[in-house]
Amino acid sequence: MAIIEVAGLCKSYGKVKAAHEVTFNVEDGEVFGILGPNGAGKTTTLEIIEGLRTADSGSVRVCDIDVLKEKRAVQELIGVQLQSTTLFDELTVMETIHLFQGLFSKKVNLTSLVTKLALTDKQKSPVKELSGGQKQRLALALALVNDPKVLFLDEPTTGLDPQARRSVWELVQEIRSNGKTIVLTTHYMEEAESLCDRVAVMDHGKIIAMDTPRQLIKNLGFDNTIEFSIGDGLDVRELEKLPSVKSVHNKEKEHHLFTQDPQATLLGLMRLAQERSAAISDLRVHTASLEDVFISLTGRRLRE
Amino acid sequence: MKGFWRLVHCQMLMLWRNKEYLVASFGIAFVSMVLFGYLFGVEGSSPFSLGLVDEDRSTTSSTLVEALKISSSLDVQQGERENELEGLRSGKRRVVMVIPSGFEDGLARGGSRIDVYFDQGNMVAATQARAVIQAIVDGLNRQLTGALDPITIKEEGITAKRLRVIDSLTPGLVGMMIMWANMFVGVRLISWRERGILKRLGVTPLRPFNLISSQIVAHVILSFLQAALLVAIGWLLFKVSVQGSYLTLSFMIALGSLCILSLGYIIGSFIKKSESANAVAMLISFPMMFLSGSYFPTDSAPSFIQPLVKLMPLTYLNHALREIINNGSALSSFRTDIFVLLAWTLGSLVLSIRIFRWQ
Ligand SMILES: Nc1ncnc2c1ncn2[C@@H]1O[C@H](COP(=O)(O)OP(=O)(O)OP(=O)(O)O)[C@@H](O)[C@H]1O
Ligand SMILES: [Mg+2]
Repeated sequence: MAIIEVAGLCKSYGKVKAAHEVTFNVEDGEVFGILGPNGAGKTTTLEIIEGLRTADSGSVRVCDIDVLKEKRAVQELIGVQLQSTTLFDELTVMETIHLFQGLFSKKVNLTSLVTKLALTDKQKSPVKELSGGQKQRLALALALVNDPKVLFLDEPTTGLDPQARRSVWELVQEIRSNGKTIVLTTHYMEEAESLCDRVAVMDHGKIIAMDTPRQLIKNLGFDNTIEFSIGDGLDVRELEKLPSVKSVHNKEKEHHLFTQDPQATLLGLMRLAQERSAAISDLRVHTASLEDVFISLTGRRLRE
Repeated sequence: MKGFWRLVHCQMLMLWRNKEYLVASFGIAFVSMVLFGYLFGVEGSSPFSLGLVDEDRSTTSSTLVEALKISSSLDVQQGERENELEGLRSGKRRVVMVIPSGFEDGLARGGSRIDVYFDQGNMVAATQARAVIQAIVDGLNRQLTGALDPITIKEEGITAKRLRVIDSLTPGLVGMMIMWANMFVGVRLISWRERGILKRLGVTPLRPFNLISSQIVAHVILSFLQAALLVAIGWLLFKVSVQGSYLTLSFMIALGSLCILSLGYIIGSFIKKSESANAVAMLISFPMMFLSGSYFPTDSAPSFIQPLVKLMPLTYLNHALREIINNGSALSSFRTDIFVLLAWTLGSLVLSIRIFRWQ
C-alpha cells in the first residue's frame, strides 16, 4: 500500500517552476530518496507534502489523508527535519524535546529517544551551545517525538563531517528497521545509493528518473566510468570512436567516458593520447554510480 | 491541554532567562521605587508647613482655616501675604494658600477661588500640596452644598495625609512595569518567524491561535508575579498599602497586560523585521513611560502634549491602579479607564489578526 501519494504537483515562484508535474508514490516501510542538485525543487516538494507550503495544483495524500484538507491530521502522523532547523536558543535540549512532545497526541519515551540519539550528556545544555552535529541530532529527535509513521529528512547530512554523516546513516537504518517510512533528500549520490530503496532523480522541478539505485544504474547500459582531463591537441569527437564507449560527456577539459569494457577503452584512450601527444591527467576509473545516472540524464554533475 | 501548559511554561522560562526583559520590566521599576522612595518618600510623611493667609475674614473662610488646621499632615502657619510668600521663597513654607477678600461673597454668587502658591522647582511638594488642599477643599465644597457633615472633612484630610510620594509612585511603577513587560511580545513573535522557529512549529499540529494564547498567558502570569513583587517590596520597605481589593487590582493588572500585549502585536504585525520592530517598541515605550504619569502627574504638562497623554493606554492604567492602591476605589469609580483599555485591546487585536503574516 502506498503511504504517500503525490500526483501532478506544481508550484511556481514567479517564473521559476520549483516543482512541475511531480508524481510519485512511496510504499509503507520504504526509504525513498529525492536526489538532485541545488535548486532542483527537493525542499519545495517535501514541504508541500508536509503541509508547510501549498501547491498551485496537484494532490498529496499521506496515510490516506488529504494534506490540503486535513493538514493537522497529517502533521500528527509525520516527523519532520527541515533543511535547517532553528529552535529557541534559551531552552535546553530536554526542555525543547519536552515542548515538542507536548504538541502531539502520540508520544514516545523521551529517555530512550535521548539515549538513541546520543544526547544524554547534552540534555541540560542550552540549544545555542550545541555543535553542528548535535543540533542535527536534536532536530532528528524532534522529528521522532511523536513516533511518526513517516519521517521526512531534508538533507540530513549536509554540512556534517564524515563521522557524523555515518552516524546519521546508521540512525536512519535503525529507524527504518523499526518499520517506519522515510523520505529524504540529498545531493550526495553515495547517500542515496546506500540508504534508499528507491530514488527519484530531480532536476529543474521535474522528476527525470525514478527506480531502485541498482536499476537506475543498470538502465544506463554500462558498468564503468572513465574520468579524466586532457590537454590541447585532441578532438573530443574522437573519444566517441574509442572501443566499447557507450557515451561521452564533456565539460570544458573534463571528460566522462561510459564504457562496458574499461580495459579496451583505456588502451584506446592511451594510444590516442600518445599519437596526439596530449597529456592526460586526473584519470579515474570507477563503477557506474547515481552520479553517472545524473550526468547521462542532464549532462551536468550533481554538485558543481 | 497539557501541551498548551508546556508551551506556557517554556515561554515563561525563556522570558525569565532573558535578562533584557527582566531588567526593563522589573529592574527599572524596582530601582525607581527604591531610589524615589528613599529620596522623597520619608520626607513626604512628615507634616509640611502651609502658610495660610486669610484676607476675607468671613465665617466661611475661618471654617476653611479651621479645617486645614485640623489636618495633621499640615503644619499650618497663619500670617500676612507678604511674610508668607517670603517664607515660601526662603524655603520655610512648602505652600502658601491665600483666601482673598470677597471669598464668601463670591461663594454666595456661585463661585469663588483660593490662590495657592508653591515652589515650581519642587514638583513633589507641589503634587503633595495639591493633593492635600484638593481633599480639604473638596470636603468643604461638599459641606457647603450640604451633602456631607463636617466630620467627613477630617477623614478626607487623613486620606490625603497618607499620600506620600512613594504611595502614588508605586501604582505608577506597577503600570510602567506592565508596559515594559508586555510591549515587546510582537517583537519576540517576529524574531521567531525570522529565525525559522515558526516554520518548524508549522510542521507540528500546533495551531497558531494556541501559540499566541500561550504567549499571552505566559506574559500575563509574569506580569502578575512582578506586580506582586513590586507591591510586596513597596509594603516591606515603605509601608505602601493596597487600600482597595486585591481582586480588583488583579483584574486591572490582567486588563492592563492584555492591552499592552495587543499593542505589542500591532507593532509586530506592521513591521517585518524584528530589529526595526524593537526600535519602534522602544520609541513608543519611552515617551509613554513619562507621559502616562508613572513617575509624576501629567496634568501640569503643557496643553499641546495633553492629547498624547490622553491617547496613551498607560495613562488610564496608572489612573486605575492609583484609584485601587491609593484610594481603595471600586471598579465602578474608574469605568472610563476600563472602557478605554478594553477599546485599545479589542481594536489592536482585531487589527493585528488581520495584518499579521506567519511566513
Ligand atoms: N519561497 C520561495 N520564494 C521564491 N523562490 C523559491 C522559494 N522557495 C524555493 N524557490 C525557488 O524554487 C527552486 C527550488 O528550490 P528548492 O528549495 O525546492 O530546491 P532544493 O532542491 O531544495 O535545493 P537545495 O539542494 O539547495 O536545498 C529554486 O530555484 C528556488 O530559488
Ligand atoms: Mg533544499
